[in-house]
Amino acid sequence: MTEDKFLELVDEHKARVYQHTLYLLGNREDAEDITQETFITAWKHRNKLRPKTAHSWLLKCAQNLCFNLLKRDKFQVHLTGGDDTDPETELEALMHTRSGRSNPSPDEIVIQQELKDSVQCAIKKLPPDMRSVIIMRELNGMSFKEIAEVLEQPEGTVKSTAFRARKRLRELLRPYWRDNE
Amino acid sequence: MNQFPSHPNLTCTEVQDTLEAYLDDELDANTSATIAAHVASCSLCQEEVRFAEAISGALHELPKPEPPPAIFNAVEAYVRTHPNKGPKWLQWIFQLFTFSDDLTSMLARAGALACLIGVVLFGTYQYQQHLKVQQASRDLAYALSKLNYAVERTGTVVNEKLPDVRIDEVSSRPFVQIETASRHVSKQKRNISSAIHRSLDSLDQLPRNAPDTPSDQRSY
Repeated sequence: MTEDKFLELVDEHKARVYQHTLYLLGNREDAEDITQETFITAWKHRNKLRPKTAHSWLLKCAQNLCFNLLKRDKFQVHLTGGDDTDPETELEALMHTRSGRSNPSPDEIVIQQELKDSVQCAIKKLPPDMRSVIIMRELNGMSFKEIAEVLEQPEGTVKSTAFRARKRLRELLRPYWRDNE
Repeated sequence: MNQFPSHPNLTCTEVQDTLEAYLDDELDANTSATIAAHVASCSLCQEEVRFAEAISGALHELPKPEPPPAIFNAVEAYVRTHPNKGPKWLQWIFQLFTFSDDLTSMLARAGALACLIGVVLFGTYQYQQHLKVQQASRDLAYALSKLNYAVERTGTVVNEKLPDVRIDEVSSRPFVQIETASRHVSKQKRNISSAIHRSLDSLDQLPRNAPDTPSDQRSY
């Protein structure tokens, strides 16, 4: 693959990869780093890239990098005495920790304001695997088959995860719904 | 928990547990119809459907922020400073077989593949022909050696039986010798034949009253 072809590929997929990492990590700075790292990794493995499967390959790569980052940060939170009783609470605490690490830019303020929306808050409380499926399904509009290719799981498993994630969202958002009602 | 009268086994919990699959149309027709009937008559489940649909709507309306240009610039800088290695023509060939999805590239790929297959087939054919020629040369050498042996044996026999025929030894021109020997044999045959004819003529010229056979002599 030539440099120009690869850069065309980057231009085509950068938005979806960035949005995926942003919603998965909940932090703009980390999302930018992971997106950049994803494409640099892709260039290093350009011989394996095919145009038809590039999207799946890039999302898979981005997702692995995100999960590695989350695991590492989770471990750091654990070492620094973070709340280790509930994984979801821990993840939420992690999100807040990471979000407050840098001075927010105007874009980030907008994103943080959007994140105040109850749905986005609820998404952040989902376990990473459910969050990933919800992002791919609802945000990227991917089919279950495409998600199954990215996650290397059977399509039925992906469907089950997606339905459980949305049911979990219902449970998490029920107080907001009742308040609004 | 409400029980739907016509489906006593279907509870609100069961309906709400499968609500996402129901809304995504991922259930079989029977189950879907049963749930639809339950929802139509259950206010709690109707509320839950509205709730689930509101969540789906909110999920679809999530903001999709664009990545900052710095990401693309950083990736481009990395790619430009870590270019492909190797000569251009090698990259072109490699690219031809690894990365292309438009029609022109596909045709070029197909053409290159056809050329490659053609070269391989032609080479294979030429090699097979070469092997055949080698085999034919070996067969011919073997046949000539057998022929030489046969001529040698023939010459020996002819020399023994027909001393007049001069075939002393097999030289490097066995066919000439065979022809010469054949001519000698034919000449001998002709000589014998003429001698027989002359003898028959002489017999015809003998007197009629002369005793013909030894048996006649014995009758005297």
